[in-house]
Amino acid sequence: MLFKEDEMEKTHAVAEIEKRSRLSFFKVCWLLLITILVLGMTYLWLQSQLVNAGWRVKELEKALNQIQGPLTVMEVKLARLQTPAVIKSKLEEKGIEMEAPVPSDVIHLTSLEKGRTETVAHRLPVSWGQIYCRDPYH
Amino acid sequence: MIGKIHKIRSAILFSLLLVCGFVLIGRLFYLQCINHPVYASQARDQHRHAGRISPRRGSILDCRGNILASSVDCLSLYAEIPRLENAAGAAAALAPILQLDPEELEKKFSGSGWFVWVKRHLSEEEVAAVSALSLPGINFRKEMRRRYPKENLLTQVLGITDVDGNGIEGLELRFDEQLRGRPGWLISEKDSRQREVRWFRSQNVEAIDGCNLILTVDEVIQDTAEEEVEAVFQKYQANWATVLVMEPASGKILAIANRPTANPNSSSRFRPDCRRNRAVTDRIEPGSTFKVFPAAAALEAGVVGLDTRVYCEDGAFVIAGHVLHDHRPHGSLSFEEIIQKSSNIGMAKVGMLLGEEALYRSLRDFGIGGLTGVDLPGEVSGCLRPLSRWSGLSLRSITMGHEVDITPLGLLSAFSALGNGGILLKPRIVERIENSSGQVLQRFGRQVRGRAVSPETARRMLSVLKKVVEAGGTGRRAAIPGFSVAGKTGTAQKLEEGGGYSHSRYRSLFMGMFPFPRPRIAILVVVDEPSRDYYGGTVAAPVFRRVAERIIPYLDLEPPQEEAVL
Repeated sequence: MLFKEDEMEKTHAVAEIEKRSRLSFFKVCWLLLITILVLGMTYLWLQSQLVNAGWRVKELEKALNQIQGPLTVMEVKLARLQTPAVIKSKLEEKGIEMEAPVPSDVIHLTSLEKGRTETVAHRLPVSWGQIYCRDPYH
Repeated sequence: MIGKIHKIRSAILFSLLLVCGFVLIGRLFYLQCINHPVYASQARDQHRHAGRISPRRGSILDCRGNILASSVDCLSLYAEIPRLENAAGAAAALAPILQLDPEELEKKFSGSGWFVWVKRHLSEEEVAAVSALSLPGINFRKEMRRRYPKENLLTQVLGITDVDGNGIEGLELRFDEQLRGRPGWLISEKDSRQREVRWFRSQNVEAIDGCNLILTVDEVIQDTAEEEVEAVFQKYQANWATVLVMEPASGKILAIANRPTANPNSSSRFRPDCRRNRAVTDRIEPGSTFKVFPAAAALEAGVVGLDTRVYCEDGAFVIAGHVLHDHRPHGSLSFEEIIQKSSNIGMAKVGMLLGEEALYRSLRDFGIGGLTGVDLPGEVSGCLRPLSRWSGLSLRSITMGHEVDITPLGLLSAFSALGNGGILLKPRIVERIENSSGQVLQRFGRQVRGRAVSPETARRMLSVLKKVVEAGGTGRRAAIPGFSVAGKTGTAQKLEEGGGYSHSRYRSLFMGMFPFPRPRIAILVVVDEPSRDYYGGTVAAPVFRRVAERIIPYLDLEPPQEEAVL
């Protein structure tokens, strides 16, 4: 009698465990499915962010090209403006004649020692021309 | 009975569905597994985007970093022929904007093929006008165009590139490999709108931009030389003219100016004679300027001294059955006076004292008859016949600067040796090569070709040449107030085509250096077939003076003894 009761209890317990296990298995399956879905969506989201980043990089590259091109053109235009012949003609349009001083108009000063060269140079009776002051100690 | 019929119908339906299922699965298997490589490659071709990244061609700069040549972005126009809706209409619309022949354009659009260039390197105005038309099948492609912002400056030296950016003349050709750079490439994918999907770029090799050339030329000195050579070219309606400026101590070329010239930005309209860099491509008989070298050789050999006197036969000297004349009769002249007054007879006698062999050897030491080795394409060597082929008249001719050919650069380079203590240097026009980041890749230093004469002979020769530019000398118009100049004039008769020397066609030359005794600058002026005047002292010497006077304040050159002391 006792054995039969024990067997019945045992069977009942096993059935209970099996029942619980069945439920856990389904739960696990659901969890797995949900995890896969979440990971999949996360992957898709990251992928879209990367593709977006790629577009932004491409746009930045395009913007850089669009800046570099005109920049080079401006450099070349500036180089043309800095040509001595162009500078001379622009000045002539404004009535300014650009002439280099002839060597005889250039007065070279040399100081023998450190001193107030500038002050001394101002006292010289030079009415026209260029004054080059060269400090021999530099 | 009815149940059995139902069962049969169900079975038939089920079988049909099963067969359809198998057919579908079979088809899927065929497409996905067996034909997979075909469709995968088709998809790859549709999505794949392989692009070439063009490098930017390196720039050419002067010694102070001013841009002489650079590449800028521009647009070129092409047509996709299958996509053209109305070839005649498109041609008629584009022709007036692009200044092309409409019939030729229509012929291009009617051709076979997919792609045809309409016009390369459009201007901004042309791009705007074509864009406004919005013609289907007509598109722009980004390219690079070579620009020379200084226009006529240093045209023949810089050279030009073709429409594809390859150097074809001048430094653009000589250093094409360094200037060109290396193209890059990328392999990526594109979407349905043919836009690159940056994320899927699998290969991305950056282009390596071309290297920059930094020249020894100074833009300001070059501009000065260009102005003065233009002035003398126009004034005397010459055939051609050249001005060269060099630093004797280093061999650096500071300026090369040639006329005639042209704007390299319009290279399609170049005349052939405008493209010649006559400083290196033309051989000339240098006339009396050449007397400097036999004179230096005679001093070096010790056969004459500065005060050695030579009888100049009163202007007519018979040698080897021919009469040699001076342009003015002279009696007895010192060695210095022979050079100062440029006596042909005096120089011939000095040559006879020196001897043919010694003269020939000395001229070879000065680099006469050879290449200077300058980094410019098209250089020709001078012409000095071997000793075995000299005639009885060769000695007298060569001492006068005839029967010998030399390029203007070769002449100035040899002359510069006297200002460099007798050391002959290789002239150089490129200072260094840098990559696009400014890192120096190659530097061109001072290169010694040999010793022409001793330092003592060079110094003595310079003191003799100083007299040429003083009162009584043929080059007095080259004198610069406050500075001592050592120079030599030359008036060379040109060869007639049938033989013999012309009495109406001359070449005027002057070469000089200053300041004496330590020259910083050497200048050569050559004017070919000037009209009216033709003497070197009248035509070329003033050009030397004007160029020198403008260079002096620019380089802040000081006269050695003229200083006010505080």
